[in-house]
Amino acid sequence: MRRWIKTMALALFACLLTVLPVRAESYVYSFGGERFIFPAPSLPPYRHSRSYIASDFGAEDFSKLSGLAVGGGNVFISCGKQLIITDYAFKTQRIVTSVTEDGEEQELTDLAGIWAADDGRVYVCEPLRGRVLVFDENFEFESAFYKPEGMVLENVAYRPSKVAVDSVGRLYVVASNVYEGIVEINADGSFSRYFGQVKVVYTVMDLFWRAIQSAAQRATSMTWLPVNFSNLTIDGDGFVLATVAGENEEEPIRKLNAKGTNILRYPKDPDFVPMGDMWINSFGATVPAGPSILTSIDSTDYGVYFVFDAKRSHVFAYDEDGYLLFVFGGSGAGKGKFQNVSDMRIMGDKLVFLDKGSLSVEVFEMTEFGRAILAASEHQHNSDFTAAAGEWEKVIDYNPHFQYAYTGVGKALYHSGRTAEAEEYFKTGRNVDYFSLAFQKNRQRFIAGNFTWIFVGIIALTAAYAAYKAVRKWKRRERA
Amino acid sequence: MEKTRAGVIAENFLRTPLYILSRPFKGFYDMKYLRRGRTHFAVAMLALLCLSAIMEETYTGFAVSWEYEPDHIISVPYVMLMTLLPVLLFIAGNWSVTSISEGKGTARDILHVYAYALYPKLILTFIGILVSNFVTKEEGAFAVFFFVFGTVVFYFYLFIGLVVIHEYSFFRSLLMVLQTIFAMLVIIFVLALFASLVNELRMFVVTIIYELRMRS
Repeated sequence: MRRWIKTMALALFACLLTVLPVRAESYVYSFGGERFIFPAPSLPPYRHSRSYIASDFGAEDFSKLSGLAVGGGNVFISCGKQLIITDYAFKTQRIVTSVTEDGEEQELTDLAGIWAADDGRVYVCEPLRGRVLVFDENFEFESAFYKPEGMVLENVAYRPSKVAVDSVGRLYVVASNVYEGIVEINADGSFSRYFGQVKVVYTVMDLFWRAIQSAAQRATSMTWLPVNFSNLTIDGDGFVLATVAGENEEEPIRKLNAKGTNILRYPKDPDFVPMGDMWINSFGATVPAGPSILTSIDSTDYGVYFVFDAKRSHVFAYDEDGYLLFVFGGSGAGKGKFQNVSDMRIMGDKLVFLDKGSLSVEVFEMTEFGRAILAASEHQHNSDFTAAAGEWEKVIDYNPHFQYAYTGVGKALYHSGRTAEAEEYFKTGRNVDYFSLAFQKNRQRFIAGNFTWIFVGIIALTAAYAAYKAVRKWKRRERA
Repeated sequence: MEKTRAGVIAENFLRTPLYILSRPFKGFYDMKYLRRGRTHFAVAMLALLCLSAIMEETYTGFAVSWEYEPDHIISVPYVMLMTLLPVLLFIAGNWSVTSISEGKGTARDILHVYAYALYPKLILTFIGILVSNFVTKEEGAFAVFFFVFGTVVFYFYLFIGLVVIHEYSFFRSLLMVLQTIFAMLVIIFVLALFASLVNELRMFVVTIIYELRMRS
């Protein structure tokens, strides 16, 4: 009998495994025990829907896929010397291979990052010529931003590789070999400043070795250069969101304010810095080891941002408070896997990836699970906690192990004054910060509601103790 | 005045430990030479230590432990083993070190010292568990204070007790602490070695049985 049940259970489990397609490839980090974080399998928030190869677009080849931008109903892909423009259905509108500047037709050199601005303009980096090309809404070449006057570079060429443009037309350019930070260029093409430099971090040991080096040694040893940014975007509030290139960054994702300091929000617990994978192997001969290397970033209007980890080919989504929403993807040649992604953008309900390893443009579609999570985050962004709670309930139905959803429901309960229930939900969501808020309210309410009884109790206890003392003293005197 | 049962319990579990802890040097001396230490008190303390370990695991407030499992299952034998084994290890280690370097304390004395040093720690731990259920994350330090202070006090009394029962000088005692730690490591090492050897032996026998079964 027992064995029979076991077999049935196993068969059921096997069935479950077959119904969930990319189970192991999508997960979310959960709290288990004391500040212990582990990846818990989750449903896929996005599912692979289509791949496009070069011939689908009428393009030459996809071996140099580099930059991607989505905006104004069009998708812009830079690939080698061609700028491919398609609509959202991926029907090719135009392929630009040359521009006419000052009456002179120029063949394009290898293009890099693209930005589609809200006014319909498209900004394309052309590193070899050291300029950022601007196209108008009819895809006609308009002008170019060259290396701005007053920007001093020593012995290195200005090679813009990624660009983002804010609502007033200021350009934020990530250029290779520039270590001072993001180059901010005014709309008229003049140099504004360097922006948000990544600080060099050195340890005590580094300083010690440096101190005992001779001048000759110091001259030949490696210079300490700050790392640059690998990608950037402008989020819904107009802030620059950028990913730091390289490993072992304390804060690999930065939201830069006007001063250039990082104002990215994340939970108070230091383990929850948005940084990609938190559960990593430090060693591995054939598998990637070490922390994530984030190479792409894109943000929605409601504060959720997606980052791409080039090391393990995973996509991470965080909400505006820095809580991890989901992870999916994985490296490999199969469907829904990535080989070498150079850029990623959000296109409505879809996510578009440029995979120059598999020479294709990969399109992922949101599942109902992912839709519920993102809708909840959007409601939360708009402070509509009740609507968010409805979506979070859906998420819990899909995946009861998704801890952050419980926090979301708890927030709605908390805001509607049902703090006792909220406390339970925050507890289930393992969210100590919100739990403390709700708990404090409940404690306050309890003390306020029962103040008379507590007060009377204390008085009674004190009186009883005094009486006991008096009686004992009296008895002792009696005996003596 | 004849002592009632309650009187004896109050004497052993309240007055004696408080006497020892309020004047540790004289107290531990009396414990050893005036035979004021009670083995059943020590056993009770170890039992309470197990209880406190289990309660810490189950009843510490969420704001402090960050741990929440609706159907939290803990293995009581495992927790007890993991609490009692270190105690045994310490007593064995300390006794083996001191008995070859003119320490005057017996294993029983060491057990008694350990138990009386545990007394304040247990009280503080229970208070800490209680408090941890009434604090927020920011106030969690209040609860943690009890746990940490309890441990500090425990080591403090343990050290003084050992100094007194072994009749060591201060620096000799510091050396003893290091030696004890070393001895504990050696014991663990030998035990691990022994366990792996036993396992190998077991595998050997199992393989032979398996082989015989395949042949028959």
